[in-house]
Amino acid sequence: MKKYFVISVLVLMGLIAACAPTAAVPAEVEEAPAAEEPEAASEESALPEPPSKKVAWVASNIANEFTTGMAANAESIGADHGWEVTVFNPDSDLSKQISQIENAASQEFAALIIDPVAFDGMTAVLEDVTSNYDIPVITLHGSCSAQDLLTAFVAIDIQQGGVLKMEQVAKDLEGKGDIAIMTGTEGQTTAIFITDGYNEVLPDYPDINVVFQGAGNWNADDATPLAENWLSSGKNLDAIVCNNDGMALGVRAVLQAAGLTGQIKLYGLDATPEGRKAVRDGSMDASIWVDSYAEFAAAFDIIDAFYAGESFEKEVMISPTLVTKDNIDELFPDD
Amino acid sequence: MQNLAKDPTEANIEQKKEKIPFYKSANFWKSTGIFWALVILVIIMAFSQPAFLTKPNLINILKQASITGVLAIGLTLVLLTGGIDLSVGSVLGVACMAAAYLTTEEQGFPVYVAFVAGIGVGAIFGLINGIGIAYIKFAPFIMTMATLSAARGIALVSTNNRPIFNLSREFINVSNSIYFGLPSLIFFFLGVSILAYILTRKTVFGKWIYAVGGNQIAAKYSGINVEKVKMIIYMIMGSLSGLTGVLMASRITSGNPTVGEGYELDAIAACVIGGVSMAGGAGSVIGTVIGVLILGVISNGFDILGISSNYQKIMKGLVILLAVFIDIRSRSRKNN
Repeated sequence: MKKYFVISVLVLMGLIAACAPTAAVPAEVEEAPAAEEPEAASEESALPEPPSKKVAWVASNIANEFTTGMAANAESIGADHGWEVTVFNPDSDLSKQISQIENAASQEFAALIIDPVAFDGMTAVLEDVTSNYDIPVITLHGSCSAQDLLTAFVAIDIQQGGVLKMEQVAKDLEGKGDIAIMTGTEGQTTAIFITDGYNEVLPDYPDINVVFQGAGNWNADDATPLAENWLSSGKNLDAIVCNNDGMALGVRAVLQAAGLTGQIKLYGLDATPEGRKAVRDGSMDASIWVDSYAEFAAAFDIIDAFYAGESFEKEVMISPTLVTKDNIDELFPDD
Repeated sequence: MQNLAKDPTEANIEQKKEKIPFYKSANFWKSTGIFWALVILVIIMAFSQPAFLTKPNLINILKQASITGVLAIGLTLVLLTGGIDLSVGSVLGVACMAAAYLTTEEQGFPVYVAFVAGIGVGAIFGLINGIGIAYIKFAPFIMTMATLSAARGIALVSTNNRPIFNLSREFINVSNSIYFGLPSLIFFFLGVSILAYILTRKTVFGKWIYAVGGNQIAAKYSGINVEKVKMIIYMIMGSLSGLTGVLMASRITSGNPTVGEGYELDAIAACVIGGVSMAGGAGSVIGTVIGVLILGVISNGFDILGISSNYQKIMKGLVILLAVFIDIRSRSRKNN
């Protein structure tokens, strides 16, 4: 028994060492913050010194094309600004995200960029981090209720994306028709904001009826049966408007199978590479370019300004762009 | 068995009872209760929304129930042996990625390679689960929970979270074709159900499955290789998870590493609604098929009625409790 125990402990240690090249870091961390903090405090008027060259990108999840692209943008734009970016993935789990924020702060990261999993629920951890560490803490893409404590908020005005898209829908349908709205996971702020954008426009077009509204949970696999059920309800549909491209691509497969491509118009959001391809070949009518590149560029500008002692905007809202067949070559010439 | 032999009079009575036509016997309503629940549900839906009872919609329900259906059939076998498999959704995800990767335009492997790879990947996970549970004696819940986590990780790592697109036309046709007026997915569900029915009802191995789940120690003393039976069952489950992964990749015309999250719960729910006991040894493939259809009818019916998916979740919870309640009551009456 003892032998097995020793072997399994060794194997486990080997595995952990192999998986986590930074596993040795925590050892130094214990003393370091205590040594450096009073120093920073004593040089009162001097510029804040970054405790390291590391910046943490605490995502909300890395489960789809868009959030994967965000992580890639975080790393590449961070590198352009001379930072080494570590990506944390809490899998849409709030409590996991809170622990990751705690860990990142105590590991001497020079800045935290966070996409909150939920709007509420992070106040305690953010109070703790902002009072104990003099580093910029920026929320990106999603905001949170403790925003006042934080350095800045950078986001795309996602509701504006919903507005732009619904205006395009109204234009394509010439102000008249039956539509279905497929939302992301019910209760999530992004889904609510985008759909609020739709609802801002809809009162201007009384002849556009929302026949169905249902949650496709951001995925193709949940969007597919929902769209099939809508189609078999026997009700007329002129357009299906989805909160993201991932669901729209699932709906596209259903429309193709039913031979309804083009007959029922289809709208997504995010302008992911596959979504753009669909706009190009006409199987999707429009998407909204949610540009996480611009978000991260703005966030790293703020971090640089913070350590250079320069002033910066506390709230940066980036307007999204409507993507249709007409302007897609202009927006994405490299595709 | 010995008890029966000792009491021949009782055995005679049993035989006499069997001569009464089944539909008149007292057992009829009890043993077919779940089927009537499905019928009542269909009638309610039909009255609430006329479009429900149209041919295309009914076909739709069958099609959408097929993927959970195949998983639920596999889980029925696992539950019958007194085990559980929580890893089915994650294994599905890995198989989905494998199948999608091999059939992209760039790789261009023929369709059967995707099936071999997907089912093979699933079988390997099943084998690992089986060895862990049958021979190393991990509790099934623990072993398959570990696989649930590890397999999902593998699916995500395989492409660094990115979905795979551009699958070949031939592969997309697998789940999106129509034969004899029915979507192809239904035939996979039907085929798996029939094979599982034959396996459980008409083969010696089927008797072993029930014996292992009913009383493991007795099964062992009667000469059944309990470990081997369990291992094979988990391998069958893994292969079926792999199969559903292949079908899913074709259905959503892409490989998505997060696909199948939470499917294990739907599949378990279908089994439980269909009267499969979580304690093992009791339940049937037909019951599970009906359980799958009940869940399918609820989600389709609510979708076309335009009811939010949040209410569907509440409804699902209530249906599970109700089904198990009926099951407990009918069992306690039998025992009395």
